[in-house]
Amino acid sequence: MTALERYVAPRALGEALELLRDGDVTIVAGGTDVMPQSHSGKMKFGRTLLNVRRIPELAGIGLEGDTVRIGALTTITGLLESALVRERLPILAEAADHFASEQVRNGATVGGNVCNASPAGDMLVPLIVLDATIELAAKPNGSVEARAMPLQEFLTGPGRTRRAAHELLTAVRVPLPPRGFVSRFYKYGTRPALDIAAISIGLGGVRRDGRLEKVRVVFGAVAPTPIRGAATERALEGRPLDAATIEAAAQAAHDEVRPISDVRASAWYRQELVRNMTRRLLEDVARG
Amino acid sequence: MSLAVEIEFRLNGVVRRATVPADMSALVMLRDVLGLTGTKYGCGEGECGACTVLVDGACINSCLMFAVDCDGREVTTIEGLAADARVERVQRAFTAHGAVQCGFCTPGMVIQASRILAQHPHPDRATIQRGLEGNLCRCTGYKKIIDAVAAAADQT
Amino acid sequence: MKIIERETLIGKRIPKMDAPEKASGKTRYIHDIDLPGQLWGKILRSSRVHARIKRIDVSKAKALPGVHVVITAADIPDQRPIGVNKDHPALKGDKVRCIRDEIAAHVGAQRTVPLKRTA
Repeated sequence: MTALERYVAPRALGEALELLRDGDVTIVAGGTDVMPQSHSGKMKFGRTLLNVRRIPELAGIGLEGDTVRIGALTTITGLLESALVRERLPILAEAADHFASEQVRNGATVGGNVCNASPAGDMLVPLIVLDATIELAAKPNGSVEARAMPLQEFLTGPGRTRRAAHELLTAVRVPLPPRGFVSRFYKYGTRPALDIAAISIGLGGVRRDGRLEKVRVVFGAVAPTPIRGAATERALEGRPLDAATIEAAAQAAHDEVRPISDVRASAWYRQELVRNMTRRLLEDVARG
Repeated sequence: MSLAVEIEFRLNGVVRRATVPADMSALVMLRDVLGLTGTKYGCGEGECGACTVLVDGACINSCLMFAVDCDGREVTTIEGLAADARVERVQRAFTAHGAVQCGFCTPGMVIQASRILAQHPHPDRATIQRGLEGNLCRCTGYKKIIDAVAAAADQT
Repeated sequence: MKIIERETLIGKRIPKMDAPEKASGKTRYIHDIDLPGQLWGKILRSSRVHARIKRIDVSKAKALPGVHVVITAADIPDQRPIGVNKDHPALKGDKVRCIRDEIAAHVGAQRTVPLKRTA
């Protein structure tokens, strides 16, 4: 028996936001997180089940000036099918390609992955590498209001975000990377597909004269949220990308992550993976 | 029963109406409410692909989808693909190449395989393998399934 | 004496007779069967990976509405498994050696009568 008293599938953002204002709402799109979590008891339904999948304002991928706007309802498959994403944001396509399975990719949405806020969330690491911003909408007083914040700021802990109960995530915005930007994504699991990451690594930077600048390194599944590798970034920033720099960066990565031991891997193993795979990714970047 | 919702959708080409609990999965609706048992409950959590159906032309794990979300959409199960030429070819290839043992994974495999071939008319084995990554089989060890999909492709 | 010609069966690839039905989803497995008046069985499984079973009290389970029968290993005293089944009888009586090892089974009129361990 659930607490559900009402199910609504609105076709307009305003209507959805008014329903959210009433409180005690469970939001669902593809259901790929909500369904299993409701079965396992991790999540209990509120009084209202709000299906946002038919709201047009949440759909679509488009270029707005120098920013790519990814609607919250964009499926993982939608990311893979977008020429804009494949060509201008390849790290996002790379992560999407290793997401679960095709069946799940066809249903799972970017908005859902972001709001689920798993420490190992596949899209979160590349989005933070790309300096993504999220948009929230609400209708507290009769008109639609929006606010935005960096994705990194939005995620506060496992399954926790700064979304207020009456807010809806409407889009993720990603600035077009600068010329010369190179990026890599790596996810480690025990099998090639359908795996939750034991660790994931995203890195990006502008390559100039054999050096990386404006380096961004992000680690997933080694902390309550995806984290920036500040020490790893410092070890790389502006230095020639040679074997010594790569080794120093890999070691910095190993030392700065504080993972837990859980069913997927021990803390020690995760740290080893982080060092070795950071090294491998950087060697791949250095090879060009 | 928890909150009952009326939905209307196109199932295997025919408009159907159903009244389902809001929290019911599409899989349970197809099997228990609508009596279409060709789609299987393997894991109930989107890991095995035995529940694969087509929704608006795309493969979906019906165990993860809410039944109410079928409203206004086009759903096709293995039963509805009996006359699909590509699916028939895949089914014949599965039989010819020993890709069926207990058969529990087979409907999901057949649907997924036909989608792989729709997107890649002449896939190599790696592409087939990647395409089937969401479908588990406990019996065959996959080799004959991949053989069957490759054979079904060559005929086009 | 009838001689079966070598070419008729030996060395031939014989397709599995039930493969086409299975591939079309027509084959009915246990969960696909729904006969009028049928009862539904459910297994209570261990959440421990390696544990001694000290005692199983089924009185509360038997009293649940809709439950017809609850059985444990005690109800099947003559289990004489051979081979690998010596370690893996249908219902475990002394020890569970794996998560999800079967402890008890019940049969009821309702599809979803829950069977939970209370201790």
